Amino acid sequence: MKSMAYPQDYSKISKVEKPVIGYARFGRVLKFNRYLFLLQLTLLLFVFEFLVIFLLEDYFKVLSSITKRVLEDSYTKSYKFLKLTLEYSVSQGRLPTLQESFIYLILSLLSLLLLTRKSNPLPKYVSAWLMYIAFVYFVSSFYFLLFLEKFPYTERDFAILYLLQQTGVFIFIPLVLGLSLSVFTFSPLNLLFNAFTILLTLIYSSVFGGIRYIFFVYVLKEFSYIHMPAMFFIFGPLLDFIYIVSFYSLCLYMTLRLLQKRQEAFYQWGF
Amino acid sequence: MPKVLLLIIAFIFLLLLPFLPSILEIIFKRDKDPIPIDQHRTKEPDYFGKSFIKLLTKAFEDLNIQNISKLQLAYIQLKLKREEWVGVLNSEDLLETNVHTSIIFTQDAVFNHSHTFRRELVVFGNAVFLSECVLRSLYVKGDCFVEAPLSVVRWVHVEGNLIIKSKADLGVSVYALEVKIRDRTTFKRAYAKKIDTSDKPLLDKNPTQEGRTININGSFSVKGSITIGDKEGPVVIDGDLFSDGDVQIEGNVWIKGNVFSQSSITLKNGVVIGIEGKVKSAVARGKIFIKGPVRIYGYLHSEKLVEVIP
Amino acid sequence: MGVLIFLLKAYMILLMFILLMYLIRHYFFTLNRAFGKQRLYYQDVLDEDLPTVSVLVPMHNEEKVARYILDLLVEADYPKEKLEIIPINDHSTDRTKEILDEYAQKYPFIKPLHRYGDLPRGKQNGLNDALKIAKGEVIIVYDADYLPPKGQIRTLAVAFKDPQVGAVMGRVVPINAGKNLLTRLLDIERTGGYQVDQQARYNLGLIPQYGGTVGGFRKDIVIKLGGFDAKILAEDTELTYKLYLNGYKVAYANIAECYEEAPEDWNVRARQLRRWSRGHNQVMFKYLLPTLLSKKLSFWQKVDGLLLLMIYLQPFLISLGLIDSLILFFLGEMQIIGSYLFLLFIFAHNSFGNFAPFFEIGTALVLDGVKERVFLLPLMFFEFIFNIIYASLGFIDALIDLITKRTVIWQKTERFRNA
Repeated sequence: MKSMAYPQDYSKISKVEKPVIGYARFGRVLKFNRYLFLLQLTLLLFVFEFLVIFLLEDYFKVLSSITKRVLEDSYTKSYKFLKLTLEYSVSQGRLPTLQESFIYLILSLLSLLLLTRKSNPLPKYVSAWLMYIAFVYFVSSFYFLLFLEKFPYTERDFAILYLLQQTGVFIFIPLVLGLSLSVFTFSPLNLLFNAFTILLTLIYSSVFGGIRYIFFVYVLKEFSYIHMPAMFFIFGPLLDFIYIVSFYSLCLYMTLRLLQKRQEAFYQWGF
Repeated sequence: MPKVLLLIIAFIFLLLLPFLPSILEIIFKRDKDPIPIDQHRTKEPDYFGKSFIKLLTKAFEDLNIQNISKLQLAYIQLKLKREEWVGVLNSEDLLETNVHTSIIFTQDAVFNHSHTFRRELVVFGNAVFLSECVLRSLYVKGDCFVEAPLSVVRWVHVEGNLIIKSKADLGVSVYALEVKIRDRTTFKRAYAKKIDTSDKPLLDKNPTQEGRTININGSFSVKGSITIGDKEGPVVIDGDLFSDGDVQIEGNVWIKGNVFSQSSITLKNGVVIGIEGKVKSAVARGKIFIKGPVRIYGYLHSEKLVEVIP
Repeated sequence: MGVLIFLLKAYMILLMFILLMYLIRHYFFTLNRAFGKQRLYYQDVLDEDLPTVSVLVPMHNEEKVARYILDLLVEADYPKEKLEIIPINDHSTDRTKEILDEYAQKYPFIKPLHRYGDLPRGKQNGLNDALKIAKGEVIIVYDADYLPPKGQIRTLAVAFKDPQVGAVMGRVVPINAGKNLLTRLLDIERTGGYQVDQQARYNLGLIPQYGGTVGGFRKDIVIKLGGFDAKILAEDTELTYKLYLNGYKVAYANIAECYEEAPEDWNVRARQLRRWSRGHNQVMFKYLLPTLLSKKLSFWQKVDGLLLLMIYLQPFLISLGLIDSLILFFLGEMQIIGSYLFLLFIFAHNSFGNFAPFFEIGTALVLDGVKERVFLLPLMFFEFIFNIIYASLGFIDALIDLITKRTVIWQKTERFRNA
């Protein structure tokens, strides 16, 4: 009778091991905790939506006072939205002169012509964006050249529209991030990561949205309403989605880096 | 004016900041490689055992050991997937209950005592399990007889026949020339020329049974569940059967092709799958339950469990 | 004026509704792929009686890549007596012909089809001609830039053991993923498209799409259904609908992963996208009504089928939506908060992702287990207008094709591999 055990091994474990089979990516699914999923959905959506609505009036009040400090000639008004009173400060804007409109028309037209030329050396994705910007400015300048007096908005309309747009973005952030991030239910830490991401996104949005507002009001005052369409159609909610997706990817990265210590903790077999 | 300048700088900064991680990734390309695809991947039912024995043979070759059967009792450090100690035995008995290294028996091995093998067990002769054993994986060059409860975690690869006469859980993958199951056995996949639960001649060997044979030619695919089996007479299907639901086959039924189910498969009392000399499969996403005399020529695969009660 | 404003607003509401449908669909797909029961593919069916296979490789000036794919196909573990390889040399003017003849001399199962002279150019025409000489029961197609792994033909062909399967599709993975911004974006889009979208549609019994490469179909059925329409550039999408409308299905093999070469140049990508959109929209015009009226499709297959048909119409509808909202803006209609929130939805769905929202791609990346690649998601912003422009141009091309019945000319995607 011979002993063949590894001499240094004194382990008392009698079980061999649990089957460890790598979950190939074609058939794996994510570990799913139904309760954590529902908890995240509920908490992330309701808590943050509540927070947004609760802080909305204060946010716009602060923004209004900062606007007033930066743009000293601005005046303060308020707007009733549902049961909320949203305060804003805005400087008086101005209509473009015929000369300005004409210059923008020529510039945008020239840009469009140059960008659509085959010899355009810019990468197509950059050209595509520039074409879009040029197109918006072309429409805008064309309008102001022909129907200057009929422009339906004042700086106050702009401010109200911006307020509503920003409110829309605030409401949308917990919704879109809550729905997309709740999918990850690997650990209770996910709830923390996801809540942190939404919070960070909301903070970023309030800072970015605020600065953007003051910047826009300044542009309308100094450089006329000809830029107003661009403020909504180019630099509007489209830009908000950059940081929303950016924070989403950051949260994904945190999840992948911190929680994926072992494959088994992350995936399960999907069949 | 400086306030406004600051405002413009802050706006541009906040606009570009979210792109920072993306731009860093584009510049530093930390995760630029395409997801790895194994260009040599093929479907091999003996993959586990074959690749292990390939590693082992290579490791012995590296040590200039040509004839394993002449090896004396020793610990050898071999480079398998990583450097590890491997114990080599001839026909000696094994003392330890818990064995923490891979063990190689150079000749026949009879396991009279209970053991737990935390690493691979290799037998270059025949293997006989007479006492309860727990294994990680098992390679047997000759035949393997299981006459006491056996529990395997990963794979079993038997170049000869595998005869199971006691309760056994054979882990994820079983490969053998022939598998004879004579007591309750579970596994996930098994490949052999013939897997049977009884020596009794079934429909493929004894076609002249009583009653009129129902012959169906061609393959068919059903959306729901299907039950096949006729009390009046035998059923022979010359084709494959695909189903989205449960497949229940009972009695004198011979399906010469494959059986595939997105749910479970039950084979009972006289069912034959495949034709001798050819490889056919029974594949289920759910459980495969086999009861009574049943014979399969080829491959059994369940994503959950194959349970055989002869 | 009132009527005009009403129509403009109605269009915005319709657009929002359509985009919302897509958004819900993709969220559902994401949940299904992330947690749902996955449908088993046929890779575990081991069977010695495999069908005979003809592998078709359409080629037009492929000297840069021809040897790679032929070497890999020669190495395939499929029984050689059941395999033939037909590289379709479609009017090549480079060394493709010489390379193919060299391989044909060495390997009897490589049987090139040289197409020159008056024969009309194009993948669909080449495939139609190859079908006439192919001996295989099953046709597997690879584009010339693909690198099929050793066991893939078996994996794809075994699906045809199921008599309901009319076509099969594998997963496409760009090998040059890390090359530049474009290839990196295409890589993550493909991940979303296959790992989540295609697999979810397969799981749910909807309409996974046959993609024309890393896939195959039953020869007799395709011949019976009249082969490929020479006027349609997206022969793959057309076949998908033809099969479903005739009671067959497409099986998606997520395990059958194959490297491809993604376009590295934005001009090439623009042409590819425009061609895809044109072809896809041609299929939409031809199959919209038959899909709606089909008795072979279930309700949800019809819904998915219609949404899939309209996928390349979406960018055109969005561009109309942008113009529409610009007009509404100048008409003083921006006060309507609703119309503004509509825009939010539009952008949410489309700004990040080539017809797949960012969360679908994000989930697919997690399933693939990648790391820093997730940071690329915000860069999809750059593709937004690009996709709208070139997919819309493709739609307009298809519309002109429909009206004028003109002959379409296939434009091959340029290859980038270094010899």
